Amino acid sequence: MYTLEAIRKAMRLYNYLLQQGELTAQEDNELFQSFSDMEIREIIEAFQEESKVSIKKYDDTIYFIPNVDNEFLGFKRYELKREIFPRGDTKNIDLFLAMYILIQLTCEFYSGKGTNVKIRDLIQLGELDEKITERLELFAKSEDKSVDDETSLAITDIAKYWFTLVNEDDSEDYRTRRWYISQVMTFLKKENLINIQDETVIIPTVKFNRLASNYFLNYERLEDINRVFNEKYMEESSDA
Amino acid sequence: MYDFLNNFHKRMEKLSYSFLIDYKVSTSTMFKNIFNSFEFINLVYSLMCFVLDKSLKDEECTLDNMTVFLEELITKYYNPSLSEEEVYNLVHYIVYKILRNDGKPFIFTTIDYTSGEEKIFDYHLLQQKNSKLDSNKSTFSLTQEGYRLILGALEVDERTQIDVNQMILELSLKKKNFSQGLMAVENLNNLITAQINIINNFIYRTRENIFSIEQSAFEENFLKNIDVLNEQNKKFDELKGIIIIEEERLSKSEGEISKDNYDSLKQLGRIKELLIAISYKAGDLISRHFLFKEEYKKALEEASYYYSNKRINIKEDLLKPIEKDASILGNLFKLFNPLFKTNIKKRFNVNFMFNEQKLYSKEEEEEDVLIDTILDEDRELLEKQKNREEYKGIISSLLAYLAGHRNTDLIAVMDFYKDISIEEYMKLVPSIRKLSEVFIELLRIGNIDVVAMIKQQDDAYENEEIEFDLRKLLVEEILENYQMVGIGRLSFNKCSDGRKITIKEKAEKPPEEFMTIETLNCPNIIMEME
Repeated sequence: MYTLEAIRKAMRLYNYLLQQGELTAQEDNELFQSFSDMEIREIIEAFQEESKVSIKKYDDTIYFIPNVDNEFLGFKRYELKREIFPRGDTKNIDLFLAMYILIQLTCEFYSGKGTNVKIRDLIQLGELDEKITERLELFAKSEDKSVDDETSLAITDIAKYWFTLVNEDDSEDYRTRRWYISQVMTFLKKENLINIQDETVIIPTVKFNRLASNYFLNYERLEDINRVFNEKYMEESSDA
Repeated sequence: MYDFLNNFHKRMEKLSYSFLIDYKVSTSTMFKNIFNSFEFINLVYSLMCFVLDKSLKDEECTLDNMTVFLEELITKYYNPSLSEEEVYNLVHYIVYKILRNDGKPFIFTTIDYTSGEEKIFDYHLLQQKNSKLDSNKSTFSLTQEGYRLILGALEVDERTQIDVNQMILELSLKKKNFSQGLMAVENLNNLITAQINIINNFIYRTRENIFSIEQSAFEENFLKNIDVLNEQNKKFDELKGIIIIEEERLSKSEGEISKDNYDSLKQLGRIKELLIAISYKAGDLISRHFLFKEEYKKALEEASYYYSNKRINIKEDLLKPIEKDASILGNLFKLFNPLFKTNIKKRFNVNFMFNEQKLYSKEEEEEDVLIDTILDEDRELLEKQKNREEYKGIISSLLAYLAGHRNTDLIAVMDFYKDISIEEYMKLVPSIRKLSEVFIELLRIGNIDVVAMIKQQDDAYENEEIEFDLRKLLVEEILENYQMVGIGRLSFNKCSDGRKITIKEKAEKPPEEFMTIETLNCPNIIMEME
């Protein structure tokens, strides 16, 4: 049986992580060390299962990671839309494009193989813009819609939309390519996944580096990925 | 095969540092119309030297710092006149495109002729961190490879250089050639500082990602470097001894101190100062390294528990399926959700209202003092007056309905007032905060013996400062309007059937776009009057 003291400590740690998202030894050494205690860790593991989260220690930090199916702690689609585009008045294509930018950014940083997942540690906004344009160019010209389903969206649609956008370096202008990139980056910065240095340079944070290489791209997540991919895209009722 | 090719790959590693920079410069097309290639490569290395200097002094080196430096250099020694912005762009280009190689590591392939194996070196020359002064800006320092390139030394040589400079120092002290000694100690200071920075950088990288460092590299670099420092420090103590003897000798000379002696003393003082600074820095690091050694060992043990090296291929497993069927993008956020901060909905905390109100009025008072005391006193009075009126309104609306219906509940009250008029509704609900306060207080008391209450109020000391005095309000209202009705008891209790009621604030004007409408969700309340 577990002691009340151990449960109390586990709860304290859980609560801290729920609030702060992460914990390092510098912030609270005693709490941090408690995670190495076998008894407390076992309790924490039960908490994790019950509340659909993962608590992982990567290097010198413990992270609180909601599971993919955790709708309580994770963003819902419309919430995320509002976070990325706070000005409102967004269409579905906006979110799709934002997601495409996000996955391209992630690819730029973490497409290495083996232990060296991270292949670079910065990218300039302009280069990201070029990379996305380059990639979408492949699809813009092709009329081939390999997806027959009427409701499905093809990458050619995203590509065509991208090329209707004004190509302007100034991210202040509304709905230019750079504006879309900048909306996504601002959101990621708020989530402490990247920093924007010297105005134009995107640098992933330690958090992004660790979570991407150890969690996001972990082989065990393949199951999650396939499940999400197979879910039919459905409009959420509250998605206005 | 050939003895002279032994360790060829090590030579090539060192040569590759400058080769890769030179290659980048020669293939780039930017700024070609302003500087010729010799000028440009000179500028790149000048900037590297500037970073070296800043790294050794442990000072920040931002793009702005570099711009100031390079602008001065260009104006003085190179012909073209560039605006500050142009120089900034030049610095930005040199730092990010050339020295940082767009964030990708420099990669160089060569052959170890002894084993016949291909050798791949990958490294960065500059390290980038957030500036302490402005976290949106970066500061740059040299990596181990950067130091090697600029200090022009291999690892073995670093050790040798330290030994040589130390020997020079010792000899010059003995030969009383203090200016040469000073030069040697300055070199030593640079070399040791570089060594310390390399170790610190190593610790930083290991903490960030334990697998970025191979275990052999840990033994090789970290432990060996610490040994070198340890050995040096002992030697420095001996040297300090010699300096003290020399100082004593020079200051004891009879009569006035000659100019030469004075200069020597000054130089000795500086040598001592630098030696002390070096030992202090090194000593601090040595004492910390034991802790780090433990930390590293533990981290390695734990790592096996958490890390799996098997990874998804992001391009094949994520990007390509998405490009095949873009509707996946609609659900992709679910995969990213685990990386985002947890997003918890906040609920209205009823207990918080009291705190908030106190805090609010206190802040107001503090702010007001600064502006105009008399005017503010008036405003404060008016504000209190208005608040009292509003509380009174709530009580009188509530009692009016209660007197007509006797046994009723909150839902009925709200339904009634909702339909009459907006004025009447706002009398009952001037604000959610006030309405909640009234109900919380009523629920807290629960049963009110009206007769006893009126008697108590007679005896009570009246405090004008209190804005919301429930007993006073009730008594006044009852004496004013319901004396003839004969109310004996009032009771307010939470209804346990689980039904909830939602109360909204209303305004006379249609709500403006950004105005938030406060809403209260609470259980139904049973009210009785006897």
